[in-house]
Amino acid sequence: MKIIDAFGKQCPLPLVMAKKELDAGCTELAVQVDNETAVKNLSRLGEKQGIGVSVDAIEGGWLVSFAVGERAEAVELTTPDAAAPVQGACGPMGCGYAVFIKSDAIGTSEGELGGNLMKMALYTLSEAGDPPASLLFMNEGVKLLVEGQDQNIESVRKLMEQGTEVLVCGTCLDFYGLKEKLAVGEVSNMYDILGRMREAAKVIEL
Amino acid sequence: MIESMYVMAFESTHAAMAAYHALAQAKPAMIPTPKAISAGCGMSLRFAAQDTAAACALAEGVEQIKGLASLYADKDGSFDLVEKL
Repeated sequence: MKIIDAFGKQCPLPLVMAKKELDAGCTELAVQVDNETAVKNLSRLGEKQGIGVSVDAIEGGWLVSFAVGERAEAVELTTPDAAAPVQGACGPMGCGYAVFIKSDAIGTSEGELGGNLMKMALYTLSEAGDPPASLLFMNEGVKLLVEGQDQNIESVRKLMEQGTEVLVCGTCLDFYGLKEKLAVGEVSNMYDILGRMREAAKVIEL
Repeated sequence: MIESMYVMAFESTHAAMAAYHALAQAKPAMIPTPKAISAGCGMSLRFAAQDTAAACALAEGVEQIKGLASLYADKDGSFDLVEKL
């Protein structure tokens, strides 16, 4: 059993350290982490790879244990109306397209126009019938998905129903004190968000 | 209460944004002006109201909208002009 001490390590380090071991063929791995974002991200890593994950509280944090060879239990999907993922057309550069949102406005946040443009952009994406494979939120973009942002939440929900994967930066939510207020989307990390960008044939940045 | 969907289109962005606030109780969605509608501004509002009179009443008295807005009944993708405000 290989134990990684990730206490004091910021996201995405715990994830990177764990993935490195799993990719190298480690079959029994446990990671000590001191924050819940890391627990969520490591659990998701396990689920995606079909590896059994268990989480135990320990002094100072949690121990997330991976047991390769154990089928992960059917995960209760926290996303509403979860649909089959978008199978974007694949080419030499990647598959499908990703939309990356790093602000709560298109253009400057000052004044009303930017926020309104963003509302319309998300609405249009949700109605166009050609959904992105992934929708990625970082920095102030995470503010678009908190309680109260009714129109944006509705647009993003519609996209998820069409199979778009919605990833929201956990560190950013934490920075703005919005962790508890996220209304839609999966808490994620730099590793996964950048991974989706690299896998996409095209990244649209709003 | 059976409600119908309406789209309000505008000749200017400022009229659109003023209407967005004026119609707040109807919880309008801010949408790009549908291709079937020609209007000066690319920003329109879509909202539910009991009938045409109720829809118009929401915009009543708002100076920035007067003469600059058109109300359409939204029939699932086709739009019938019902009133010019």
